[in-house]
Order: sequence, then C-alpha cells, then structure tokens
Amino acid sequence: MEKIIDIQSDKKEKFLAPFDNQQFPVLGAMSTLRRSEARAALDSIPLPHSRQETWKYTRTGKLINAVWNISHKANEVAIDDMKISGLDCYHLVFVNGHYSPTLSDNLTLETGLEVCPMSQCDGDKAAFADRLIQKNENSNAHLFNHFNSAYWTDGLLIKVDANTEIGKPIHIIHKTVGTNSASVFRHVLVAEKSSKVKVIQSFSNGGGSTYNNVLTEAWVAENAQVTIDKIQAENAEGITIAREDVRQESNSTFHINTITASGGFVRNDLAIVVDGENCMTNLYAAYAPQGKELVDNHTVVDHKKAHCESNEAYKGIVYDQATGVFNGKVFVRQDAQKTNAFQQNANILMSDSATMNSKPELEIYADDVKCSHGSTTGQFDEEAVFYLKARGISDKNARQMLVQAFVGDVLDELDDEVRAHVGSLLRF
Amino acid sequence: MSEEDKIIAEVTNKEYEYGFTTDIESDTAPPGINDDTIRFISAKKNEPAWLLEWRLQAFHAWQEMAEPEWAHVKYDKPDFQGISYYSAPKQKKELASLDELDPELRKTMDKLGISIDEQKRLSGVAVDFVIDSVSVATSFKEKLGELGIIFCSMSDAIQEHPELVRKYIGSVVPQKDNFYAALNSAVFTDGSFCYIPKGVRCPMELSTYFRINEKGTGQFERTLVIADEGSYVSYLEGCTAPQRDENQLHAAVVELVALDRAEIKYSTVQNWYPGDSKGKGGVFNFVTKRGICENHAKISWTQVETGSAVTWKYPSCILKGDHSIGEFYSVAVTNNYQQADTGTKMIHIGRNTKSTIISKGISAGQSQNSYRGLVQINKTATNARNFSQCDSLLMTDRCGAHTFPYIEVNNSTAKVEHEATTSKIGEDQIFYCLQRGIREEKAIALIVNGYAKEVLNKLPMEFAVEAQKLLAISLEGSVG
Repeated sequence: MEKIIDIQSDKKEKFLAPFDNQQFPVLGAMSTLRRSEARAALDSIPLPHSRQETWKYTRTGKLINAVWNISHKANEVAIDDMKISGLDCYHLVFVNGHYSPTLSDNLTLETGLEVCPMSQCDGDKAAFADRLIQKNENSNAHLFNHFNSAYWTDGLLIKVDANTEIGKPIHIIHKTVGTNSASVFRHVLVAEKSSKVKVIQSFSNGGGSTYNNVLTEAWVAENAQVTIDKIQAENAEGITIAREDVRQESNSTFHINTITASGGFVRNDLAIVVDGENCMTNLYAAYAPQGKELVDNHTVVDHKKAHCESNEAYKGIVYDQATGVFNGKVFVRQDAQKTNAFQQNANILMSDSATMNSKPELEIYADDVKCSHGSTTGQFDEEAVFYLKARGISDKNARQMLVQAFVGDVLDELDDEVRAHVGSLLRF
Repeated sequence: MSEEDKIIAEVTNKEYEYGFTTDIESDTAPPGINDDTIRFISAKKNEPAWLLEWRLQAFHAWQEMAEPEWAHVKYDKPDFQGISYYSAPKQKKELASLDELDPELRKTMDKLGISIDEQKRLSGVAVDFVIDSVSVATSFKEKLGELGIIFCSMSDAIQEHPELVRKYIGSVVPQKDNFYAALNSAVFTDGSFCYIPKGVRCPMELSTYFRINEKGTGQFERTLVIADEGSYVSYLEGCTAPQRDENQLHAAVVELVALDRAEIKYSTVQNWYPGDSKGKGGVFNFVTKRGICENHAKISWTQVETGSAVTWKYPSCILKGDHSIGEFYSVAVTNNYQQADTGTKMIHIGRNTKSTIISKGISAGQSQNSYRGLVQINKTATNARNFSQCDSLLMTDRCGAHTFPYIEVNNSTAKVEHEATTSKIGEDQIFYCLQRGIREEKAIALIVNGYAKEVLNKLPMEFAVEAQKLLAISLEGSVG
C-alpha cells in the first residue's frame, strides 16, 4: 500500500514540477495567500483514481503522465475561424494562456463595463480582484481546481456596474498552440445589482497535445442576469479542465450553455450556489464525442433559499469508442422550501463500443419541493428512421436530422449566430 | 395541542411493539474474533474441513478490508471485537414434533403472531424459525420432501447436502465481495437453505422469521436458495427484533441461484428495532443480497423496509443468461432518526435481458432515506432493457430524501430509462379527502398506501397484510 502512495506522490511531483517555478501575476496579499493555500492542497489531495467518486469513470493518466511546457506568448496565430460570423460582439483573445492585445479589441468597451486582463490589473482593479478571488470557492473543488488556484497566469476581470445592460456579448477566445503546452486561466465575472451581461467563451487548440485549465468565478448580484455560452472545440489531442463557480443572489438569473463539439479529454464542473430567493438557474449542454474522446460533465446546483427554480438538460450523442459521463447533483437545503428543480440527461449511443455513464443525483432536505430527474440512454428510434427513409431521405440524412432534433432543444437556447457557428462545429 | 401535533406525538412516542426478550439459556462464545473463534464456530457446528478453510480464507481477507464509508449514513462503527459471534439456544435433543419445543420459545412465537401449529394446519406456509443463530424448528419438511424440495437450516444442509452447499456457496456473493460479506462468510452461524429440483413448482410459500435474541450478539445468517432448471419458488423473509439499548449488528448474506428457466421470488418484510424516538439504539442492518440468473431465468426482489437504525442493503441481480429478467420492488420507510441507504444493482450480461426497478421511499421525522442503484449494461448485453423509477415522499421539513442512481451503458442497443421524483403529500390530495369526510390521519394512510401500492401488490398475500399494518404503524399522522 505504501509503495503505491510513493509512486503516486512521485507522479504528482513530476506533473507539478514545471509549474512550480513560474512568474505569476500578483494582485495582492489575499490572492498570494490563496495561491499558497491551493499549493498546499495539491500536496495533500491524492491523484484521481477510479475509487474516488468524482473520478469514477474518468481516467486522467494522459494528463498526469505528460510533461507540460508552460505556454509562451505566441501572437502569430489565426483565430478568425473562432470568431462567430455575423455576431456583433467584443473580442478578447488569449493565446497560450496570455492576453493578446493585438488580437483583442480595445479594452475601453462601453460605460458601465470594466474589462481588464488579470495580468494587467493594478491599483483599484487589482485590489478588487484580490478581494474576490476564490472567495466563492466551493468545498467540492478537486485536484485540478486547486491546480488552477495555485498556477493561474491570466484571465479576465469583468465587472458590470449596477443597472447596466451590456449591449453586446463579450467573446473570450482561448487558443492554445504548440506541443505539450499548458494554459491556466482564471476569470472573475461580477454582475452588480440589476445588470445584464452575456459572455461567450470559446476554446480551440492547434499543434500537439495541449492542456487548458480554466476556472471562472461569477457573482450574480440581486436582480442581475448572466448568460455564459461555452463552446469547446478542441482536437483529439486537447485536454480541458473547466470549472464555473457561481454564486447567485436573490431574484437573479444564471444561464449557461455548454457545447462540447470535440476534444480529446473534457472535464466540466459547474458549481452553482443559489443563495437568494426567487432565483432562476438554467444549465444546458450538448456533447458529441467521437473517436476515443471523453466528455465528463459534473454539475452541482445547491439550493440554499426558498422559491427558486433550476432546470438542467444535458444531451449527448456518443460515437465510436468515445465515452460520455454525466454526474448531476441537486442539493435542496432545509430552508429551500418551494424549490422546483428539474434535471434531465438523455443520451444516444451511436456505436457498440461507445460508453455512457450517467449519475443524476438528488439530495433533498426540505419537504415542500418539486424535484425530479430523468436519465435515458438508448439508440435511435428505428421507426423514426424508417419513416424518413420511406419519404425519400437517405439513411445518413435521416439520422442527421434526428440527431439535430435530439439536441435541438439545447441548441435553441443559443442566439441564432452562435447556433449557426456551433452547428458548423458539431460533426453529426 | 392541535390534532396534528397530537398525532405526531402519539406516533413518535410509540414504543416498539415487538420489543421483548426471551429468556432461553444460551451457549455463547466469548466476544471477539480471531482464527480460534472461527474454529470454535466451525467445530461447534461440526463442519467439514473445506468449510473451515473457506471461513478462514474469508476472515483473512476481511482483516485486510476497510469498512465501507461511501453510503449516505452516519453512525458509530461497531466494535467487531466486542461482539459475540456465536450464540445457540441450548437444545440438544432432537424434536419428534413441534409440541416438544421449549415453552418460552413457543411464547415468543405467539407474541410475534406466528403460531407454528396454526401455520402448519391452516396457511400452508412452512416456517423455518430462526432464534439467534440456530434454526430450532422446521415444519412442513416432510411434505416438501416428497417433491424433492430441500428446505432446511444451513447447518443441516451442510451436514446432509454438503455437495450442493459446496457447489453454490459463495458462487454469487464471493467471500471477498465486500467488508460485511467477508465477515459473514467467516462467522455465519446459520441461515436457511433451499433447493428446488428440476421442473418443480414449489406448492407453498417458504418462509423464515429471523430474530436477534441474545444480548450483544450479532446475527450473521447466510441464506442460499437454488432453483434448478424450470422450477419456481416464492421465498418470504420477515424480521422482528426485541428492543435493545446498544446497537446490534446484523450482517447477512443471501444468495439466489436461478438456473435455466427458473424463477425465484424473494420477499422481505424487515422490521428490525429502529431505535427510540431520540435515535438511541437500534439495529445496524448491513446485508448483501444477490441473485444470478441463467438463460430465461427470473429473479424478483420485493422488500418492505420499516426497521433498522441504519440500513445498508442492495438486493441485486446478475442477469448472466440470455433473456433473463431481474426485478426490484421496494418500499423503504424511515422515521425519527433512522437512516437508510438502499437500492439495487442490475448487471446486464446476457442478450435480451430485462430489468425493472420500482423504489418508493418515505421519510418522516428527522430520518434520511437514500436510494442508491446501479444499472450496468455490458458490451455483451445486446437489446438490454431497463426501467427504473424512484419516488420519494417527504413527510416533515427535517427529513431528507436522496437519489444516487448509477447508469453505465456500454452497448448501443440498450434502452435504459431512469425517473425520479421527490415531493410531499399534495395538500390538494388531502383537501380532496377531507372534503369527502375522511379524517386527515386516514387520508394520509390512504395516500401513502396508494403510493406504495405498486410494490405492496407484488407481495404474497400472507405478507401484504403484515406490510400494510407496518406501514400504517410507521406513518399514520406523521405528516409535518
């Protein structure tokens, strides 16, 4: 037994070593303390293995056993294909984990909106970000979330003033290129009282294997509305660990659409704490892993206060030898009476070698609630295919239509331009 | 005090009805467990050498294992060295008839409502009655014997049918399966054994009543039911335990083997002592139940759980054969400070296998009630089909209802559906009843019974009545 632990800690040290001796942006005393706390946590938390509940179906060997280079600034990359055609939005671009001023729009965007790369925050902004960072941290953070807290190199601080509606979506583009290159992002999003903002995050990579670790912390204040569209379209060599830590105050709305079009290894953790009454929380996702890809979605919605509603719809189409994992958890605390929580996970397996592991969980401590969840996994309705074929539609087209209809209700949540963009990325 | 409060007080203050102790002299092993304890048990039961070896293997594996902590329950871990692993009522003489039974024992049975002679004459149920760890009375044995059915205590089976026991024991739940199964394999003292020969349809419901009797003894029974090709058996198991202050451990193992085209229906009404209204005492019920289905075989588990301080129980089906069927119907009621983590596992291996899971949880008081289930469709399980439905009913604002379903699908032809809902009794439903002159207490009983009907309907007649009574006792008026 001890021998195994030795091997484990050896492995972990090798994995962490390249990240330890870096220059990190300094915001202030608090964030420096958070870094060292997170570094200590990395020492104490064991490497993921199948006996751990959060890693039961997901093997991380590919990530742990590789030797990662800290990405260097590389400005000469093409990102035009990541832009959403026809969509009027602000572009903010990160290449290999660093903010790229040449590829991004001017930082003075509009009144009531403050946007600043974390690496460039100074004065008031640095103090503001310093106060907020990791304040929200959830107790269920896993090894790679602590990894993010210890080693983040850049990200965006986005602050929306009270009573402000931001006219255009903010599109954050993450591009990582090179061989064995790793990028660690930390975004902080604050939507003050009665504000409204929409953020699009898109991810793409090029070259050899890449590792993106991105953590977004969001505060949704009273009566505010925040929408995040997350578009993941990396190649089979890409490894992504993403997490959203969200706190909602009363009367607020938080909406996230996670579209995983491709990616060798994708792990998404959503941790939403609903800490106010009359909140609305919507989590939608579509994923379509092919080849030997793996998509792992973990969500936690923690209802702490009464009269809230949450909707969750995760839809997956698993091809080839790919693997899909869904683990959704809804907590309804004792004070969260009159909660309506709905959770749905539907999957289609397209091949005999495809695997889907689904675990929709409910933990309920209040009695006057309506909570339900459903999970289905199956194959195509052959009768529906036959119906279409009988009307002169080819087998391939018929199946494509049915797949599109299947994920349609998730894609419908997107704006038209985003929907068209995502449609071109999904390889149905 | 409002009517509602009165009802709550009445129910929560209700003492455990079946709490009494029988005074029978026992032959008890000193507390603690080591190789010698196992040798003592084995020698006491006059067992063959292979079984002792088998027990020791299990014990050595157990020593290496850690107690599982993943279940959604909290309790003080039992002190395994503080438990006495053998306790047999002194009953050396062979009985010619049931009339020769110890009068004390007879009284116990009468209090439990199982009058053996009445059962023998009227109901057609053969009762293998277990007090503590040794089976003391077996009825209807002869009648079953005519059909070639073997229904006896595990100890007798080991003496009289060692070849069958040796072939099947541990074939479904291996010695090293889990912490409690390993402990059971090492120290099991008795249990029931049942063999239905090829093509025989067992004409009566087989039934066993278990009781924990001796103070400070754990109960480790082992049940083995083998249904040979084309046979059918319906097996009933019921539990009541006397009131105790310290926690008692119950770690049983049940193995079912359904060979080609056989069908086993296994029903349980479980009513171990749940502890008092403050959450003190009560039985720990850590049970491993599993069945294996060969081609075209069917195993159906039905359980009504109302007892135990802590329950940790997952009756499972391994659907190994093609066209085999697994079913799980469960009603789990928790009140006061009870904790239940229960559910099932359906492992689909064969082609065209089907499984159905219906689980109804009812939580009241400050109890925690969890459903934990696994549906696993393996690569080989072409055209597998599963339907799961887990509903939870919450009676107060301080109890919890949780659902942890695991769904693992490795075959694209599978159809797996899972549904779960959690809610409290609808105020409109109660209002509807009140409006029609049905008192609130009655209305709740009506609604709960309707809610659990789907499962209660699956119980054999003999048990359905008892189960309904238990539900009523556990729940009437406990709405918050």
